Amino acid sequence: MIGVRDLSVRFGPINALDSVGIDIRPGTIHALAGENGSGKSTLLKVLGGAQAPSAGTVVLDGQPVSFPDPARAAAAGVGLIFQELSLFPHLSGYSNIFIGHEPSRLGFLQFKQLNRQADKLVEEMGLPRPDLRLPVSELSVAEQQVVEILKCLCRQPKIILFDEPTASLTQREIKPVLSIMKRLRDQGYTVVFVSHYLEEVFEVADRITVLRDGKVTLDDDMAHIYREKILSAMLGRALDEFYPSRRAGPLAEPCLELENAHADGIEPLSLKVRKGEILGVAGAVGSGSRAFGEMLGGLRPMRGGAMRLEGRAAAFRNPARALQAGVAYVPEDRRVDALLLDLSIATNMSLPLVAAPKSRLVGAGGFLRLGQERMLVDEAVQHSNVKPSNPRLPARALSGGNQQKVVLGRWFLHDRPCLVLNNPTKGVDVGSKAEIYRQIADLADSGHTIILISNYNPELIGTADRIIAFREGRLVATFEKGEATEDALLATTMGGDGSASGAQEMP
Amino acid sequence: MNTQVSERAGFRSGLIAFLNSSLVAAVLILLVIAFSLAAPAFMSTNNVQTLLASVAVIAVLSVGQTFVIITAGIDLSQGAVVGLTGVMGAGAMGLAPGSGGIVLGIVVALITGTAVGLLNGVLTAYTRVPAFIVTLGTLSIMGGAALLVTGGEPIYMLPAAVNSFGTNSVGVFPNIILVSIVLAVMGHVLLGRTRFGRSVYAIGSNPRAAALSGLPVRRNIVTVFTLSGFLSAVGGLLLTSYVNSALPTAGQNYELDSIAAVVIGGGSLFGGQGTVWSSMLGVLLIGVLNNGTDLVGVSSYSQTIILGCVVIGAVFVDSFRKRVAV
Ligand SMILES: Nc1ncnc2c1ncn2[C@@H]1O[C@H](COP(=O)(O)OP(=O)(O)OP(=O)(O)O)[C@@H](O)[C@H]1O
Ligand SMILES: [Mg+2]
Repeated sequence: MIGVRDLSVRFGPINALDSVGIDIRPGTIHALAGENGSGKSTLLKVLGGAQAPSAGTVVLDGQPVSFPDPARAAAAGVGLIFQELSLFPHLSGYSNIFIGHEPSRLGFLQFKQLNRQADKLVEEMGLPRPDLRLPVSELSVAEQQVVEILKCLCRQPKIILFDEPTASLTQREIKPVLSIMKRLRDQGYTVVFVSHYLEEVFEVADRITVLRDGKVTLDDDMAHIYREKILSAMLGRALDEFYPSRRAGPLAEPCLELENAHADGIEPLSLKVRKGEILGVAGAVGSGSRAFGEMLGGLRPMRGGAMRLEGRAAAFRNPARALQAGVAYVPEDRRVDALLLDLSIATNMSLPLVAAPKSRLVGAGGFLRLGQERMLVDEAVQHSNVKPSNPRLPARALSGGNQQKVVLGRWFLHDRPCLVLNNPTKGVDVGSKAEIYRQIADLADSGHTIILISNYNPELIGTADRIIAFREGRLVATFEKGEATEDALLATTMGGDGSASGAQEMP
Repeated sequence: MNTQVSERAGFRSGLIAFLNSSLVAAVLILLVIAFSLAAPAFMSTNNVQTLLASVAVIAVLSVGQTFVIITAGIDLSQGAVVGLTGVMGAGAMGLAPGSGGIVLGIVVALITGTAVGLLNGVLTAYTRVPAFIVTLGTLSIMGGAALLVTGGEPIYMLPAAVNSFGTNSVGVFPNIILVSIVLAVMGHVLLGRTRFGRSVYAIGSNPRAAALSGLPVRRNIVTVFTLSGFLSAVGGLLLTSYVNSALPTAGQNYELDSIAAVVIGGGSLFGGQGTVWSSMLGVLLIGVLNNGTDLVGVSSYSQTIILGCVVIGAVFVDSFRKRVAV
């Protein structure tokens, strides 16, 4: 049994955890839920030895213990899988799995033995089989996740801590991860996992703890739990509207027109998207849904066909051109592609506006209007509800969901008529998701065109005016508002039977 | 998170910002006090002038190096460019009589330095060769070129006005440090208050994010290296006028001092961090250390050992400090 007593963790003035006490029973799946920044990752890091507590203790099998580093926790049987994947991209799957504790003889690595050991684990656990000989950068995110799990398992933990294992997976890829967790529990492991998806919690968890502002607000067996109970414990209030109602529908004029447009990874397609329309884009990883967004955003050159933006011919050589013409691309991986982690929230938010030609923040001679910048950023931080709201903090200090609000807040400052959003709610809590959906709907109501690419079909159904689905680089179906169901979308994006046509589709 | 908390965070980060730049400043002040007690000659007008003149060239180079390092690059060719532009400028000054020759020399030197910087920038931005290798290459190439042009011989015959500029002072301030100060102030404003400066930070912090925000990443990298080349040429001219001769190898290892100054000031080789002002504190720290240890009779061999310890110590201490974001 593992647990914590009176645990507090402070980062400067922020109380990430505040006198938290939790018991995790052996052989169960324990879910952790809570808003962004409520302290879930911090709690897991303390349990896994990656964060020192400011006060309080970790209790393992009745004994107070302290783990000064993850290696010590691993030795005690606690394995932690971080929220951000922490693999070495250039090393093979095998090397990543055994890094740091390679069995060796006289200092020479026993490669054969290592690889057999990993293969045995894959077999025993019934895991999907990634090619472990390849550098992990060549594996899909889901496969990398499997490598992370193997890396953790081969240290023979009794307790496994998963921080948002499904956040970057598509729905098809989530199922195997959930069944791995169940299988681990059935073999006697204790599993703790963080998730922002309540469906997952209901599907696999035996018990749930909800955190809010670093305090436990709910801690109970799943048998006594229903959705509203979790939500109100997370938010401190009832959530009145999850998917927003629209004040206006799409306008008649087209904003974006494509004629036989194609690029690497996408077959020719023709499409009209109107002003004020939210176009949902569904598709598995490698299906072309992402490539479609990158083509619109100027990251992936068009190979042929025509594109018109507000009636003017457009073919963007790079994101800067796309932005000038009016299309902003918001990438999926905010830490790698979007954020300046060590720079302030203010600098992060104002960047596209500062970079824009004839920017209102840039005066004669390229001088910045710093006073005006401060004012605009304050306004944007309020509008996007970023917490903590001090714009001088580095982006690194924010929780995942709040980082995402900063990224989206950029386009509140630098208004572009067409926004391409790639999985904007990835890793974002339920309350902030609702806020982001509201912001998307408001943008559309004010005449913006939104291309919403998402792995999460329910949010497409909940917010989009129309949904297009990609499979194997082709646009295979279009659903008007009200036509799409989860089953239909799943079947279309997976290729008919909705079962394991899987692996071949991945690039 | 209530507003009270975030206000306190604001105050704290203000405090941290102050400590951040003043930690180097505090060490600097302590050193000055210690040396003036140990060697009364340290605070004499004469010695202050010598000290300031000795850091003038490094100061100018450090302005350029600060920009380069904030983009997560590095310019190893600075010292070689100092040598090359010095001999090119001095050589060109001999081609025409009087002030015409001086102007010609200055123009030739500045064009040469800018061209080398441009080359560094273009290679770094448009090929996959990292800045370290590109500038290591140009360091070697320009060092060789300077020897080739002169046949390895120093150039002595310079117009009298050049040396009188290089050795005269306004009060305790030698002319050449005044040039450095003006350039440093301009560099500080450029980095902290303009779109270009903001781009430099953004690119160093995350080039992909910068590109997706619409910044011309490559063009800015070229500009940064070009600026460093231009400033290295200014450094070459200042050095020439100060020592009244041009030696092809005059600038050897200057780039190491400019990198050390930036790093002591808190610049990060991973990019995104640093300011011109704090690099200048680093320059002064190096200058005071060298000059003061000289006066108290530490051998020049030991001086380099001390400098090495200071660089490592500065980065070590820095890793414990909370940073304040730009
Ligand atoms: N290294 C750090 N420095 C300063 N503050 C931090 C640091 N790490 C976390 N925090 C703060 O601690 C609080 C809890 O963060 P934590 O990452 O545990 O949240 P979380 O519940 O995992 O959120 P998310 O759902 O977004 O992943 C947040 O307010 C965050 O800003
Ligand atoms: Mg987290």
